[in-house]
Amino acid sequence: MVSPVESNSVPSGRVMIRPMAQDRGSIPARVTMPASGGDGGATPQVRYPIIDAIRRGEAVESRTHESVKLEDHVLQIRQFCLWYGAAQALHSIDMPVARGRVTALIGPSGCGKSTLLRSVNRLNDLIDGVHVKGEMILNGRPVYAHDVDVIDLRKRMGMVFQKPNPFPMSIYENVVYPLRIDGENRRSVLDAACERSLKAAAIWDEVKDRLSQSALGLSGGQQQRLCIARAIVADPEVLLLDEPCSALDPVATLRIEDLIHEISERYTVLIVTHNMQQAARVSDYTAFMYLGRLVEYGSTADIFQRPTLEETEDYVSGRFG
Amino acid sequence: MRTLGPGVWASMGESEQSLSRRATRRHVHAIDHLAGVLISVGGFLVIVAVLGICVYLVAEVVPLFRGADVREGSAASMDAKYPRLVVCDEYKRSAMLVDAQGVVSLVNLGDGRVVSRGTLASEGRRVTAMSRESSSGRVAIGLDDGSVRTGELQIEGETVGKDEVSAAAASIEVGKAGIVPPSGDDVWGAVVERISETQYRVLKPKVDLGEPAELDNGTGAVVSIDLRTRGSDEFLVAMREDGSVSYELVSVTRPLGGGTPKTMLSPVDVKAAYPEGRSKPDWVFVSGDQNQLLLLWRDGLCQRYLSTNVYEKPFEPIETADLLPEGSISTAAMQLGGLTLLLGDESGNVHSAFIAVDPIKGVSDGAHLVVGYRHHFDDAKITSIGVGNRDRTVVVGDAAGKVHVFNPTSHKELASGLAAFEGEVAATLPAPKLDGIVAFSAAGQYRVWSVEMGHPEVSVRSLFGKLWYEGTPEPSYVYQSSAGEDTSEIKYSLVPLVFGTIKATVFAMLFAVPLAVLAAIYTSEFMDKHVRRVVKPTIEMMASLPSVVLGFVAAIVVAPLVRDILPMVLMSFFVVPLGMLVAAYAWQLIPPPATRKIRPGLKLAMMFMIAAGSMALASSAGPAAERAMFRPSERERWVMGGSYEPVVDAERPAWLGNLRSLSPEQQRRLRVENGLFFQDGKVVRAVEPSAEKKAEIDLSLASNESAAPSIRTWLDGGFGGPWPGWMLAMIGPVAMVLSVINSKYVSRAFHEKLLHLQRLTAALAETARFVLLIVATLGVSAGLAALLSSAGLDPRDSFFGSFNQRNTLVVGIIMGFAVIPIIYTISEDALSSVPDMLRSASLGAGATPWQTAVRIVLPVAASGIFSAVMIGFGRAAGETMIVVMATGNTATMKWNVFEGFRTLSATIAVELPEAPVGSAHFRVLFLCGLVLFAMTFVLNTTAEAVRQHFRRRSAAL
Ligand SMILES: Nc1ncnc2c1ncn2[C@@H]1O[C@H](COP(=O)(O)OP(=O)(O)OP(=O)(O)O)[C@@H](O)[C@H]1O
Ligand SMILES: [Mg+2]
Repeated sequence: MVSPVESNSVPSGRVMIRPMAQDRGSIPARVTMPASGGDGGATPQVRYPIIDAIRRGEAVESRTHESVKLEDHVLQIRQFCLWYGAAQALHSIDMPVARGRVTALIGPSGCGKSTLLRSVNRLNDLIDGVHVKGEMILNGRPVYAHDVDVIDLRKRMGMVFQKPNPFPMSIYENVVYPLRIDGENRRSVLDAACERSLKAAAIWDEVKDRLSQSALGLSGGQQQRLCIARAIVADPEVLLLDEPCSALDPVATLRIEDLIHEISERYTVLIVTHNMQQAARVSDYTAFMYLGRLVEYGSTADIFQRPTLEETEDYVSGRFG
Repeated sequence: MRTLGPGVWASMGESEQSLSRRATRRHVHAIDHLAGVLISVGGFLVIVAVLGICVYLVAEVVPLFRGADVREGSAASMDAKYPRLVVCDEYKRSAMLVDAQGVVSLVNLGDGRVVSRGTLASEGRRVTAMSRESSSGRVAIGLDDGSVRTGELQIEGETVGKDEVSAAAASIEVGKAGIVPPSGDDVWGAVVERISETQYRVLKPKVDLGEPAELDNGTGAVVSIDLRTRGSDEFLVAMREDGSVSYELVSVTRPLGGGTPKTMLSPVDVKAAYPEGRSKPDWVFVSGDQNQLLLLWRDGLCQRYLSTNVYEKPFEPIETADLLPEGSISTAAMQLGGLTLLLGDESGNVHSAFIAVDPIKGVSDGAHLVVGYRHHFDDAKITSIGVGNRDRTVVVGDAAGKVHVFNPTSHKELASGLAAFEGEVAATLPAPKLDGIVAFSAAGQYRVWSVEMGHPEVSVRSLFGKLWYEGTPEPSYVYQSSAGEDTSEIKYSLVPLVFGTIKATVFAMLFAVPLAVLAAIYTSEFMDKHVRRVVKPTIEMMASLPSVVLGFVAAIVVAPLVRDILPMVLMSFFVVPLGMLVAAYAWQLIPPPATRKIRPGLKLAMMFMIAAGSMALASSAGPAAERAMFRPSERERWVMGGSYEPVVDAERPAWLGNLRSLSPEQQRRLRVENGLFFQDGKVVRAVEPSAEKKAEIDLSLASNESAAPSIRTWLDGGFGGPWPGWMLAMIGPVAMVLSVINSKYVSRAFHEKLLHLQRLTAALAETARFVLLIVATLGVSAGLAALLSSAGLDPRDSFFGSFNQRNTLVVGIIMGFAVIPIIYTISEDALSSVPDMLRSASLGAGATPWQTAVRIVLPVAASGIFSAVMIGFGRAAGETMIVVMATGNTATMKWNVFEGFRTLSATIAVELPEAPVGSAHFRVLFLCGLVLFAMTFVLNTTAEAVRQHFRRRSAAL
């Protein structure tokens, strides 16, 4: 069951694999999905030793492909554990994140993807009773060290949350908020940044005539794109996206995916998604989590085509989860 | 996808049955319906209750504004003409008319029959002048030989049984009146009213005059006379044909065993000197305070004579005033209380003139004659003014035969243009019980009205407008519900009370709102969750302190304490916030790894320590600042030490007028404006003493309390110029303005430079800027203070002033404490209920917690915080016990922080138990309640409108 073969393939340049913009009539897959449902519901007897072990609460070693380890890492997550009060949400996560790449986090609901994402910019600090163990190193500097300027840390990251959370102010002010708090008040700079990021978030055409109206008057999908615009307006080094497209229609989703490609040419992107096709389309690396543990982590091509674990294979093909 | 096992489907199949059974059960519907009904009934009842209270309040208040309710009574002709003086009994059944010759006729007002006649003259003499004081019933009669008689002239009523009345009266029908003609000993007869089958009321004149007594000086008949009583003293002024005026203190002795009482006159010298070109006056009056005479000429000229002590000093002319610039006086009467002259003129006006105490405009005794109010009736000549005997309501008759009722104090016209006769009204008066009016014509007619006066002393004008009260320097708003004597004016202006309420609320809110809202922001946004769980209930517990306890503490503990340590208290307003700021800057200087190790609880404790340390600092810095700023100037010290010389009269500032004694405020004005001093009743100038004398002065002043530096002496106007006060007042606003300018314009430029600096250097630079800001604040304040002082403004005229132990500062602080918990709790709830998603979004974007709080959380919670502030406002406006106990409850209209005030609620609480139900006072207190209600209503409505505006912004959250 468990494939002993370790994939050594380094992810090829995305430019090659990524479909050209013009041939995006249908939803193209970055990698071909394993044929799913070939034998329908006829495989109920498949056994998942690792998943079962995790369910029993046993520690398991995560499969991290060599390809990941060869990259230049912007973020090193080592033995990272997180507790919400007494409940442990993350168990000894070991996960290097490659610089300038898109890394997707996948896994069933409640497995700790958002938690892990929020740990990176220390937003979990705000939650009562959270404590952590292990370390996280961003650009060679520990994130959880005492002398870290958390504000500065967060300024270097952009975050989009699972649920859209625009501020109760105008669309314009929402977008330029990160600049405003840095003391930027020059109208021309703000205007330019606002337009640029709204365009990048694929919402400019819809809101360009109502920039001074309340952001709360937008639809859920529009609000989410607004939040994306807000997250990228200050040119973050790392972009943390927590299911950014869950409320979006296919066209907007594609625009966002485009944006992710664009931005990841310069920056590192960490994206949580439940959409396997999306993960396959946009990411270079994919991490599969389960119940607070990292199960398998490797290049997207490997995870989707040549996973070492049957659990991963079944999860990405939708046979389990 | 894993398919669902058969078991799952099976259970679904089972639940299908239950699905078909799914239906809301009947009793759920019933409960729903019942709840709906209960809630609507409850809501309706609440509305009804509130409306009911409103309606009740309004119903109690409306009678205040009604005019009099007049009903025509009897009217007839009688055989008594040309009345000069009339007296009516309490039941309006009979009247006594006295004509110019002193012939008295007792008239039955039922049908006009004259019961009997008599005379006020004594044997062989003729009556030439008379006057009666309606409140006491005392009369003075002037006779043609220059003697006077005093005595009593009244109609007395007595209730008797059936067998005590004479046969003539026994047959009167119940409710009607008849007469008993004079017979034998009974020279006057009586008017008898049958009250019931068995009871009669006998109304008999009481004419009890003393023997005539000679006036010492002058010759000829007495042509004008006026008598007044004051307690048991009786005094009169009389003028004889030759124009001589005598003032006499009257004492009446009754011979043992009855007989005519003896009148003893002890004259007080009157140094009469008529104004140029005048012959003898047309009227003479003596004031109710016993020591002033008023000589009045027909054209309105009035000469005032004063004797500061009638037992020792003669009367001397002190002032001549023209009370009537045009027209001429047709009739004059002294108002109840003897301090206001009512002058009727040819063109239908009644003027009310009195002696206003005004040290600045007044003549040498610090008072002068003024016309405080003028009321115009119809254009006809005023022919008679009838003064009441128990309140200031006056009845006026004119030449067109019309009668008017009005109250010169409240300016309220109760009834006007009551048609009485064809010809002129010769005499009119309010009935003794103020339940009617009686008017007499010269031709021998009379007319009686029964009147429900309502509340003559209250009018819209007297409640909300300025009125010129007897004796006061100018029209003003005064609240004085209980007068010293029955005859004094009652002052019901609600304006000082509204002012007091606003003052109390403003100061309480000034103290409470910043503290409570900042504390709420701090706890909800910055405080560690564990600490917060302790702090919040603790502050909430403060709300359970009964306000009477707070008031008690304020009055007994805080007020004396603040008095004793005033410099420290004032200083701590500056030092404590400054200490916090300094600590914040110092915090920046500590390397972050060190600060992060500090536990949150410890951080809070450190803040308390800083606050305590600041207090300690204030306790020494306050007195030091007091010594430095609030001290007498060198010149003031010279004068205090006795080194001064009087200035010549020409140098005396014009505004001082003839003042002989100056109030502390006036002395302060003299010092500040004119650089002169007031010592021992003289205006003096400081003289530089010699060196030895200087040493001597220093020595003598060292132990002198009033020369010691003290902010309280300064506040009371004891010494010092306006500068230190302005300085004190300016620092706060200037600091605020400067820091806004600083953060808006300077900070940005500064920040860009700072970016390249090391952390510590940057922090040092920030600190340096902060120090610079403080220095700038002090400098700008000092400059502004100097500017304002040189403009001649003194803060002691407005928001500072003489120090009172129970003052607004104390009440503000204590009332602040009473409202802080409620504002805090509601604000904190509003802040905490802001979705955490928004905080995450802001913090995730790299905002600091403070930026998040100010830019995101506060705007979202604004409507809640606004509600909190408004609820606090309402509580402060209605707060009673603290105000009752901790303010002096004086109804002043000054913003002075160091003085008390009187609020609407305190007035209600204090006075309602004493106000007789249904009286004007009682209704005015209800009006206070209504006004308070209206104030809070308006406040809450606008607050709600503002809140809705805030709410709309965050509605979609
Ligand atoms: N604030 C919190 N307090 C306590 N437990 C929490 C909190 N947030 C998340 N958890 C728990 O931590 C676990 C991981 O939650 P997380 O939100 O990270 O899941 P997720 O992988 O993002 O799921 P989804 O795909 O549904 O968003 C869950 O079991 C959840 O119940
Ligand atoms: Mg999630």
